[in-house]
Amino acid sequence: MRPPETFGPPGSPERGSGGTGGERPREARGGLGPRRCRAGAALLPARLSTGPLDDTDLALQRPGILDADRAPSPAPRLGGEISEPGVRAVVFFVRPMQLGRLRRALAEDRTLARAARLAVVVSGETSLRPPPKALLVVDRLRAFASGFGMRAPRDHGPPVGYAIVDRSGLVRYRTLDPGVAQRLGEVKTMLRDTP
Amino acid sequence: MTVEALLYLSYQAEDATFHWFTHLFVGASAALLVMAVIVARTRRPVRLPLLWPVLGHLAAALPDALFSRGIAHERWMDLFLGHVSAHALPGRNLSWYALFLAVVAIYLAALWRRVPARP
Repeated sequence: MRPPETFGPPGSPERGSGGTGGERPREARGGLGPRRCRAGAALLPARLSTGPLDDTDLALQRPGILDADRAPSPAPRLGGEISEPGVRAVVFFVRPMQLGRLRRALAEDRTLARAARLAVVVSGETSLRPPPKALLVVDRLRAFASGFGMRAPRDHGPPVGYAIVDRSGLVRYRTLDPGVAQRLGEVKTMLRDTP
Repeated sequence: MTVEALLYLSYQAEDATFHWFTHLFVGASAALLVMAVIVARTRRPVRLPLLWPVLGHLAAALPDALFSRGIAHERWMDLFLGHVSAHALPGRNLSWYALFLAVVAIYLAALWRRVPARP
């Protein structure tokens, strides 16, 4: 297995727009069978509002509670000070095209990096610089996504979301969230609840 | 309807319409069950029948209002009509929808059985 690459300190020029990550293309209507449409006609608006980056089980997406669907598990070591005992960490998972938006959101945010170590795991090569005060890791084979227990989205591609690691090095929260760059406040809410 | 529309829009703004449906079905089903019991015991329809399901929905969704204020969910929030555990039902919203329809049928049956026909 090819080991993931860890990017060093910021230095390379930022290229490309990369800011379309939070936008969620609408799911094709063909995905709903006629029988299911009839049975759950009232649910249609919710169905149509899901995108390819959403969880196949929306009940497990952004549950808002620690240890929602599984017991705490040891976090893989990403390098740097991430996942070290005594330090909480937020590990974002994005695809290369979402990195620009997340990078801007983290650059504008003043409190998250003070409350926890930050890491961004990108599923492919990127020429963008790492977000400020965050470790950037390339995870082409989704080894870290799997290690953190991230679920696969509806398009079966790499996950877009985040995981929270508590001070004892256990993963306590993991969720897909295609719009995480616009919802850092929600990340902080979950981080406050994390021991 | 206005309250429900506002609730829906607030969930939609958070990309969480799935949860709006869950708590609507749970809250409205609980309210309809209470209404059915009242109808069965008093033999009269409840007053303001549309208000009860809305109140049930508001009760079921209250932890989400706390969440938007920065308070993460906890297990004790199941006191609000199973707010946390409601998402664990197999079949998710489709199951809640089926249960909701069943409860609507129970309520209507209670109405038809207990309310005497007016002259």
